[in-house]
Amino acid sequence: MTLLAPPKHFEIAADGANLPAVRDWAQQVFGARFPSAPAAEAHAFVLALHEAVRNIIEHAYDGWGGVIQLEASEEGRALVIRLTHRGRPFDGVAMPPDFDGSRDRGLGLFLMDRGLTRVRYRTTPDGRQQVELVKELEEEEQ
Amino acid sequence: MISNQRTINGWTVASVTAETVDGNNVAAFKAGLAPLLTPGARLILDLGAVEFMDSAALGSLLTASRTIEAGGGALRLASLTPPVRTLFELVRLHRVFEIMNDANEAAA
Repeated sequence: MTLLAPPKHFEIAADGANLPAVRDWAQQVFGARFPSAPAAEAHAFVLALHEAVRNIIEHAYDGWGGVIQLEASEEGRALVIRLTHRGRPFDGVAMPPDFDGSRDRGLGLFLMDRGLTRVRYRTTPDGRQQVELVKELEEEEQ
Repeated sequence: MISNQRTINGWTVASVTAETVDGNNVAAFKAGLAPLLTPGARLILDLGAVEFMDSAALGSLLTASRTIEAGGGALRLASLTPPVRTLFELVRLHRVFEIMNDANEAAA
């Protein structure tokens, strides 16, 4: 495992106001891992992480607050982001429908799918919830 | 959030002034759009100032498109920045919306 130049660990209050900082961090860790990747690939990853964190804020914490820990690591050829929280368990399938014209749940999940190689939801041994986002690029030009 | 309204060739051109349109401010975005979604409206939404949109913003644009088309009007998008164009391409909505390089082209 190689240390990334941007902070590997990042913690935020579960508040939508912190999403710009999440996007900045996502841009940095992606750029450090895949420095030659096209801008569109980087933006797709940033969008996916934005949607994943927003899901936690809205569905795990229901907007009442809490903390989300973000961790980045390089594992093999992949960039792995783990989002850990103490909110309600959920996954992309189990989330309740919430499309009311202001937010399209399907679009957000689709954006995560498009920007990432895979997504996993699990409970950690200490009982916290974790969303694992994995990004690999087909051809790396390092 | 939506201003600089003008008319070109019978099309109303409205500019989105926010740099970010996402779940944090989508309610204001929808409120700004609502008066423009009149029956028969021909609306060009200039997104040249928008550097980031998320699924919430996309959902509101889809709703606006459906509303305006149900009333016999049309919605076109113009001046997409590269990140916003990437968003539309990721969800393949660039095939659903009429997207033009700028407002003049959209009104031609």
